[in-house]
Amino acid sequence: MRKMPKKPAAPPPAPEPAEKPKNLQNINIPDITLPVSLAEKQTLLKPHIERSHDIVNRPFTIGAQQPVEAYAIYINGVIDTDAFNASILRPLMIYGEDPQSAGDQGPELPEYIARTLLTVGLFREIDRLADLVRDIYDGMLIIMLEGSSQVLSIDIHKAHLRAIEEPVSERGLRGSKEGFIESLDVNISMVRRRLRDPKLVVKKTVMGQRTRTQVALLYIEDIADPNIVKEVETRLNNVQIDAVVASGYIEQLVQDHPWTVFYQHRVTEKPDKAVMQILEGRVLILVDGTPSSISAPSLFVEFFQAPGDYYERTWIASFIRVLRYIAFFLAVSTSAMYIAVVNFQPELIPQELLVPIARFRNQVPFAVVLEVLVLEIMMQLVIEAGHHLPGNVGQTVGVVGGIIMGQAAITARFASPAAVIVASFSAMCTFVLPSPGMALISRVLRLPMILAAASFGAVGFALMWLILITHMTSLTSVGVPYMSPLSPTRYRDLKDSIIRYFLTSMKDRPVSIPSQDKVRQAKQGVTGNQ
Amino acid sequence: MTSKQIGFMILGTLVGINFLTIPRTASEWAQQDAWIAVLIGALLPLVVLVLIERLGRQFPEMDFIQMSQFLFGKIAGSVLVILLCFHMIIGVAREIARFAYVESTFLLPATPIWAISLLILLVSLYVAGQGAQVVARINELLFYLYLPAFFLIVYPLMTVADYTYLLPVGGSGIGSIARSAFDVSLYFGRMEFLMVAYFMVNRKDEVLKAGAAALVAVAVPYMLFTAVCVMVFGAEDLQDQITPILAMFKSVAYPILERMDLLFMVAWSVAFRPAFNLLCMSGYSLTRLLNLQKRKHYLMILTVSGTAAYLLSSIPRNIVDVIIYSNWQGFTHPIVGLGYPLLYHLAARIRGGQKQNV
Amino acid sequence: MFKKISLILIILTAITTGSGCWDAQDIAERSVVVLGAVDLNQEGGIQFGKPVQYDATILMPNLYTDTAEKVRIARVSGVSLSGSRDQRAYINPQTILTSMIRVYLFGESMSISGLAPVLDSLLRNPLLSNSVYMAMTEGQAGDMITVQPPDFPDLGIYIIDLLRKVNDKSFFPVITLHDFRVQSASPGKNPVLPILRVDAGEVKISGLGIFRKDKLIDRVGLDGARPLTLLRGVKCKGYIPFVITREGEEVDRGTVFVGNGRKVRVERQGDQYTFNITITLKGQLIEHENPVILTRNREFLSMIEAQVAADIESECQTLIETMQEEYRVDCIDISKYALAKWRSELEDTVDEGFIERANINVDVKVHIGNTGDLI
Repeated sequence: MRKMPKKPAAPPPAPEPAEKPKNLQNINIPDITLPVSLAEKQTLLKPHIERSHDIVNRPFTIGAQQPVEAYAIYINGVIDTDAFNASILRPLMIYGEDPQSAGDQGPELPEYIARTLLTVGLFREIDRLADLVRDIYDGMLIIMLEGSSQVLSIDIHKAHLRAIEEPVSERGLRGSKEGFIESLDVNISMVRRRLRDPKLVVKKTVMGQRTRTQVALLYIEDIADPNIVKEVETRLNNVQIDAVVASGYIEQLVQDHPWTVFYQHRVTEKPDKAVMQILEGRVLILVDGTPSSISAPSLFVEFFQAPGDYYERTWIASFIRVLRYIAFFLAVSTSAMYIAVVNFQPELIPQELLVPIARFRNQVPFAVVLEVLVLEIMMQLVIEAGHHLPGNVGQTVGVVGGIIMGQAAITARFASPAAVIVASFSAMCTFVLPSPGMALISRVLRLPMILAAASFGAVGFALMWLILITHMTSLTSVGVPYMSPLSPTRYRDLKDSIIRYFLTSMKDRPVSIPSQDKVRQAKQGVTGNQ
Repeated sequence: MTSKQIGFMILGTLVGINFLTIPRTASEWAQQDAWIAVLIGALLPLVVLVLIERLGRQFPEMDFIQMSQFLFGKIAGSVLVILLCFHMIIGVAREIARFAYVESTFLLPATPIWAISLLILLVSLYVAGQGAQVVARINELLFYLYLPAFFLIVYPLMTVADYTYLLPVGGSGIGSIARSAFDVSLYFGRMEFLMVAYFMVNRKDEVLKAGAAALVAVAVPYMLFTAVCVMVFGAEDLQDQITPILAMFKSVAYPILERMDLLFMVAWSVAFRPAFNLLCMSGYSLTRLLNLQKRKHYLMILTVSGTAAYLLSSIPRNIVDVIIYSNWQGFTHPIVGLGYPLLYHLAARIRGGQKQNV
Repeated sequence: MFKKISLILIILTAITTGSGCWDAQDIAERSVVVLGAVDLNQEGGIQFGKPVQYDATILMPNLYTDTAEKVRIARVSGVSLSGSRDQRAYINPQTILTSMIRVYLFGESMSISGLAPVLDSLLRNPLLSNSVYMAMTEGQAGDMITVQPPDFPDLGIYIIDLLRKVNDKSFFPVITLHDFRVQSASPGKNPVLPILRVDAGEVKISGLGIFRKDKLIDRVGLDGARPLTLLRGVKCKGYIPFVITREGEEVDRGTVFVGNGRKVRVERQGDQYTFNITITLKGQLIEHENPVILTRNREFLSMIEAQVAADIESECQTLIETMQEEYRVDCIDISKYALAKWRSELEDTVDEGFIERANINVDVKVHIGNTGDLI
C-alpha cells in the first residue's frame, strides 16, 4: 500500500479552515464550513456523492404548519432501514413536536430535534464539508436542514453480524468457546462483559486514509504502563497508509523488528485470552473487520500458553506446557538431527538402530538431504492443501494424502521409512503448538536448520540454534525484551513460563511486562473447613 | 547490564574450552591432589576481581577509556586501551584455535581447520554484534542450558570411579600442589575483560558479590570434574588425555544414549563464550576510543577485530602448536590481569585519588 | 554500502563453507563394523619395505538385504594395526566405520606379546568409545570371527550380549577398553581379560587371562575365575553350589544365588604389609535337597552359609597362594589400598615384588536373606 502524500487544501470559499486534527486527513475534500441554505449544502455536496449510485438523497419536511425542508442522506444497505423509518422519519415527519416551535428554532433546530424528536442513541452535529463527506462514507445517516449550518450525523448501522462461535485456529478442551467477530463494537462488548473494571479504557481511532478503518485501543488505566500505552499510540498515529484491511497490517506496521520471522505481538481470536493479556498490563488493539485482537508487548513464552492452561490443574498444565516446548524444539530440529546423525555422526545412533537405518538408506538413490527436503515439501503441501479445502475434505486430504504419499514414497524408494517418520513426526509436533503463529514459525525455521545440519552436521545444527537463540534474545516488543523471563531471567515470572505453577502463588503480575499495579491477588485466607 | 549478568559473563568468559582440559593440567604436578590445586588456582581471578572492583569504585562516572585517559593522559591511556584490546583479541584467537581443533578431532575430522575456525568466528561476530546486553543475556541463558550437563558425572562416578586414586589427600606435597595451582590459575585468566565490562554495569555495588558467586560457580564444577577424572583414570593415565572430560564420558556406555561424549561435545560446540565475550568487549572499547557512536561503526570494528583474531588463530600449524602457543598466551593472563589493575591503582594513587567529573 | 558489503561477504562465506560438507558421508556408503579381531601376523610378509606385524579381521553386517550372506568378514594385514586399513581400500567398496565396534578380540599370541602397541591405535581414535568390550581368544582371534552362531544374526551380537550380561549370572568380570587401559597404566594394578574359545562350533567363555600390565602371563579356568572375580571385588551376581558333609556323609546339596562385595583393610608394620580382605555374599537360597524346614531350623541355614563361606575362602586362599608364588602380580587389585595410604613410598616399587611379600587374609561372610517360595 502506498503512503498517500498530503495534498494542500483547496482555497476556502468561506473563512479560514479549521486546523486538521491528526488522522483525519481527507483526500481532495475542501475543509469548509457548511452554508446555512439547504440548497447550497446540496450543491456543495453533490460532486462528492453523485458518482455513488447507492447513496440515497431523500428529501422530506419537518413539521406541518411551518415545515422545515430537510434531506436525509445515507448509503443504501448500510443503515438500519427500520430504525431510520421508525426513529428518524416518523418522529420528524408525523410526530413532530409543535411545528411552530420547530420553525422557531432557527439555527438551533438540529439540536432541538435531536433532543426532543429523535429516538436514537448515537449522533453528533457537524458543520464542515469534509466531516460531512467522511461521515456519509462511514455509513452514517445525515440529516441536513434548511436554516442551519449544522447537520446531524446519526449512527444507525445495520448489524450484519455473523454468529459468535469458537475460532477454528484456537480450539481448546476447556474454557470459553467464544471468539471475536468482525464487528468492532461487538468485540469491545465481549471484552467488557469479562472485564467490568471502570478503569478499562477504550480509545478509538481511525486508520487508513481510504478505508478509514476503526481501531480501538484497550487497556486498564491503573495497570498498563503509561510509557507503553504512549508508545503504542504514537506508533499507531504515525502509520500513514491508505488502507488497513486487516489487523495484520497494523501488526506489521507497528512492530519493533519487521525483518524477523518471529511475531512480536500476540494475536488471538478469543476474548478470554485477550482479557488475560489486558490484566497483565498489556495494550489490546481491536480492528473493525477483523475477528482477532493484537496485544503488545508480547513475549516468546506467551506463544506457548493457552487459556486452557489456567483452567487445568497445575501438574497437568505444567506437563502440557513442557510438552509444547519439547514439541517446538522437535518440530524445528528433528529433520536436521536426522541429517546430522545419518550423514555426519552415525556414532550417536545406537548400533541396533543404525544397521536397519543403513539398510533402508541403501535402497534410496538420493542423498539424505534431498530425501528430507522432498518429504518436507510434500508435507507442507499436504498441510496447505488441507487448510484451503473446506471442512471435511481438507481433513481427509491431510490424512489420506499423508499416509498414501508416505507409503508410496517408501515403496517407490523415494524415501526410507526413517525419513518418512522424521518428516511426519516434525509435522505432528508443529500442530501441538497452541499458537498458529508459532506453528508457522517452526515450519519456516526447519529449513535453515536442515541446511546447517547438511553443511556441518551436529556442529552446524548446534551453531544454528545458537544463532537462533541470539536472534530471539535481541528482539524486543515495544521495547520489552522478547525472551523475558528466560533471558533476562526473571525468576518470579518463571512460575508461568515453561511450567504453570499454582495459581495461589501467582500473586503478582509478571515483572517482565512493565505495569503499575503489581499485585494480582492478596494472600489467601483459610479454607472453609478450618 | 545488571550485576547478575556480569556474573554470568564472568562465568562464560572463564569457562570455554578450558573446561575440557583442566584436569590434565591440574594433575600434572599435584597428582591425586589435583582438585586442591584447582581450588587454589581459583584464587587468582578473585584477586583480580577485587582489584578491578576497587579501582572502579574510585571512578564511578567514567568508563574504561575515560579512566585510562584521565589517569595516563590521552596518548598513553589510549595505548593502554589498545594493548588490552589486542590482548583480548589474542584471547579470542586462542579460543577459536583450540575450539576448532577439538571440534575437528571429535566431530568434523575431514573439515579443514580454517573452515571450522571461520564458522566459529562468524557466529561469534554475529553474537557480539548484537551488543553487550544481548551477549550478557546469552551468557545467562547458556549457563542454565548447561546445568543438566553437570549431572553427567554421576554415572562414571557410580560405575568406573575408584576413590583410592584420590588418596592420600595432600600426599603429593605442598610444592607440587602449588605448582599445579599456578598452572591452573592460568586457566582462570581473562578476568581482565572486567576492566571494560565493570563500567557497563548499572549497580556497581553488586559486582563484587556477583563476581564472587560466578567464580564459585566456576571453581566448584572444575574441582568436581577434576576429582572425578582423577578417580576414573588415576593421575598417571590422566596425563595422556588431551580432553579428559570427554575421555571420561567416553569411558562408560550411558543408558539409552550410549555416546554421551559426542552428545556433550555437540552441546559444547556453542560454548565458545570467551570468544564472543572478548570480541564484544574489545569492539566496544575500540569504538569508544575512536569516539564513534553508531552501531555500524561498532560492527565495522568488530569485523576488523574478528578478522585479526581469525588470522592469528591460523598461525598454529597443528594441535601441538596450538597447545604450546596457548600455554604461552596463558602466561600473559596473570600479567595483564594483575598488572593492569595494579598499574591503574598506582596511577590513581599518584594522582591523589581524585574523583573526577567528566 | 556497509550493509551490502557485509551481506555479500556473508553470502560468499556461507557458500564457501556450506558447499564443502567435507565430513558428509551417507550411512549407506559406510560399512558398520560390530566386531574386530587383532592377531599377530603368522604368515609374514613385507609392506612398503617393512615387515607385516598384525592381522586385523572385522565383521560387518551386510547392508544389502537381497544377498545370501548376512555378514561380511574382511581380513587384512599391515605393518601396524591402523596401517592395515590401507589394505581395506582395495577390497572393501564402502568406508569402514570402526567407531561402532563394540567388541575387540585379541589372539593368544597377540596377548602374550603385549597389547600396548595395539591399544594406542584404539585409544587414539576419538570416535571409538572406550566402553568397548575386550576379550582374548584361544588361538587366533581372526579364526573365531568366522564362526556363525545358529540363533543369532551374527557373532558380534552374540559376543556382545554374552559379555555384557555375564556378570549378572556368574562371578565373571566384564572388561572394557577403559578398564584395561587404566589397569595396565596405573601402578599396582593389572588387568584380566575373558578368554573365549570355540567348542563344537559354539563360542564360549572358558576362563580369565591374567596380565602383567599389557602382557598375558597366565590364565585360570572357569573354576578359578570365580575366586579371582570375588577377590578383585568386581560386583557380580552368581550361583554358588554347595555340598555339606558331616563325618564323611553328605548332609545337603544345593545352590545359593548371591551378589558380592569386598572390603579391604591394609596394615603396615615396618616393611610388612598385611591385607585383610572381607568378602560378603548376600542373596537367597535357590535350592537344597535336605527336607529340613529352615524356618524351624535356623542353625541349618547358618550351616549352609558357613559351608558356602568355607568353600569360597578355600578357593580364594588357593588363588592367593598361586598368585604370590606363580603369577607374582597383583591380579586381585588390592595394592591400591596400600597406595592410598603410602603412595609416595610405594608407587615406584609396588609392581616389583610387593604383592609376593604381603600377608593376605581372606574372610568370607555369607548372608542368605531369602529362601524363595518354600520354607
